[in-house]
Amino acid sequence: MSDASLRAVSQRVYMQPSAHPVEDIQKNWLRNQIETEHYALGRMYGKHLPMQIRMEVDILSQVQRLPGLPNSNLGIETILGRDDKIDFEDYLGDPRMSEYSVDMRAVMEKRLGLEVRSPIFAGEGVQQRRDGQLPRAGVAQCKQVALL
Amino acid sequence: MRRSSGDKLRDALGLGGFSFDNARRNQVLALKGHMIPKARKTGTTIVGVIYEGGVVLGADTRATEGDTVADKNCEKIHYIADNIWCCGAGTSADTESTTALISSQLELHRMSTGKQPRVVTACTMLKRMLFRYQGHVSAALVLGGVDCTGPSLYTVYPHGSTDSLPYVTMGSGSLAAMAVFESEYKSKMTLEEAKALVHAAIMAGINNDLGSGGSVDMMVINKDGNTPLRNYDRPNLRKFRQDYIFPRGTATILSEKFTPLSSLVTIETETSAMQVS
Repeated sequence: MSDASLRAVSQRVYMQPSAHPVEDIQKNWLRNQIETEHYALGRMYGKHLPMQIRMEVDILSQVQRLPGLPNSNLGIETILGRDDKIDFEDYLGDPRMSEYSVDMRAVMEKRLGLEVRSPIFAGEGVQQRRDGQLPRAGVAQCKQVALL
Repeated sequence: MRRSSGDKLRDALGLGGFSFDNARRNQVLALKGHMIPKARKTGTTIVGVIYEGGVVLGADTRATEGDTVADKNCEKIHYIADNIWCCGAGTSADTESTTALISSQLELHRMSTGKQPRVVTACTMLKRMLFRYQGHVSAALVLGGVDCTGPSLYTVYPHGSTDSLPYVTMGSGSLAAMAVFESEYKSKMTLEEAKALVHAAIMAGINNDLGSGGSVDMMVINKDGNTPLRNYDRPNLRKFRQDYIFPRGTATILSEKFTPLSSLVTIETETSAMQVS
């Protein structure tokens, strides 16, 4: 078979949202769990309780360190009662142990809205960056240096 | 690139989890016409019996991968807590990591409550975890222990259902072992009677089930603690072994040819200074 069909097959497989039933379970379990729990809490104590918890979760999930630095998540874990539990998700595939490096600068630029949105701003003769992103005005660029 | 979970809460918590990179790769390979190997059959005999004042757990020691015996003397009785142990059947990696996870979870629970963990607690943790994964974590367990309520014994199925019974069996040899239990079990047995019964049940599995074999492992748990009986009986020791020791020069050298490496390549020595930038 040709490479083109390999590319098509790969694209089709990698575009689908989940590759395995367990991936769906992993993705949705926490959300479903909290929804069920909050439904029960709402029926027992009144809607204000789940509303307050959700508000606290939202506030606590905004407290984040700079991108690339691991968050302790102590507050949100306490609110959700995850701080005294251990699960597969706590030690398997830990993002802090990821083999992919995080481009901290790119993440910061995205968060602060500094990224270039359109290629129109790229001037003539500006060297294309290796990662395909366009250079920005006022940002230091690598010069094309003849390799000795 | 790492796939984003698409869930704000999961991202905020920085949760990991199972990786499905290989599942996607295998789907591509399958669509390209490659044969994907099938899941292999598992085989085990594990049992548990309640006696007067405690629990005896038993297991065979054969680990199989398909038709091949991968390990003749593996350990199938896993630690949960000092007063709770767990026999595992199914995919060995799943039973190992399941029992290790629940052991850690129970230790956290023990530290937060300051009390000796109960067997029901471990059982509930196990069934919740297994039910969550809908049987994809293939661990069929016999959970036994002694706590403040006395001895208790459970079976946990891969989908998360549980039984609480005075004598239980699991694995492919469960039918052979249960036949022994059904004919010989009686209530209020002594420790020696219970050990003999568990031994007979595991031997039935070893001798009559192809997926089970090796030796008999046992674990006795009572209020005084636990007594591991690793390789309590070894019915299948190798009887004959041929040691091949040949005197030097047994195989005569007919011809010999030596080619020095320097005749085939030129070796140059680097003289310039090391490049540092």
